[in-house]
Amino acid sequence: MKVIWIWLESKWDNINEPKNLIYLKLLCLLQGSFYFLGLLRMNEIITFLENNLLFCPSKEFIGIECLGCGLQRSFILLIKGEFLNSIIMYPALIPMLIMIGYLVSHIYFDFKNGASILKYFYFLNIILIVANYFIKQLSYI
Amino acid sequence: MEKQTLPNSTLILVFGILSILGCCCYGILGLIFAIVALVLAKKATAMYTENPELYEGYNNVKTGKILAIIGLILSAIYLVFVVIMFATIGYEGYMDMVREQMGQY
Repeated sequence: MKVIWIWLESKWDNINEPKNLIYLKLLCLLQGSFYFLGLLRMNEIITFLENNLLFCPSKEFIGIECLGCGLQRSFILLIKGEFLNSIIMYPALIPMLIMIGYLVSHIYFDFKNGASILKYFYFLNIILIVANYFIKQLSYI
Repeated sequence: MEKQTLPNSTLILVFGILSILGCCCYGILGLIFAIVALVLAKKATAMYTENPELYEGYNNVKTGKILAIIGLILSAIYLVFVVIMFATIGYEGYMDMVREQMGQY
């Protein structure tokens, strides 16, 4: 982090250039999010999430799992830091999060090929979700 | 003359992506998002085809439309699947199935 700040200070003279301003904004966001994470009490959040899982109406009333089942459990595993278990539980979670982050940054910065890259992310997600769903259903039979 | 961005072009993209994330709840949430995105996209494409040199950001609209169509199809298939399963086996049958599964673990 400090190295990046020093690198940025070398460009301090022409900070008003739009490109450098974007770097500054991004850095502030990154640093701010680190401080914010430090303020959070992660253990309490994880226990709160584990106790207050939203129930899936399709699983509750009909008994078949829906396409999004496993998302919350997988997310909790990801927060805990168990990446592998999270991927096994719901493989589409991490690409989904990347896709949402890319979508937000695309709306802000308007990348040149952003739309088509989002499309490919979307296809990847759909393939992962559907394949995961069928494999899960087959394992019950 | 300056180019304008198409109205709702980012909204279409966001809704198109949300249509797959909202695949829970019997696929109804996904259907709503996808249909809203498709209606907005139809308006935007009509505006773009009238005078294409006036607007920019048509890529977002195009992509959002494709994503919304896929989300719509997936949600619709899932909805039909749920309805068929519910109609053929019924509530009792599902409860039995669930009990069997619970017994296994």
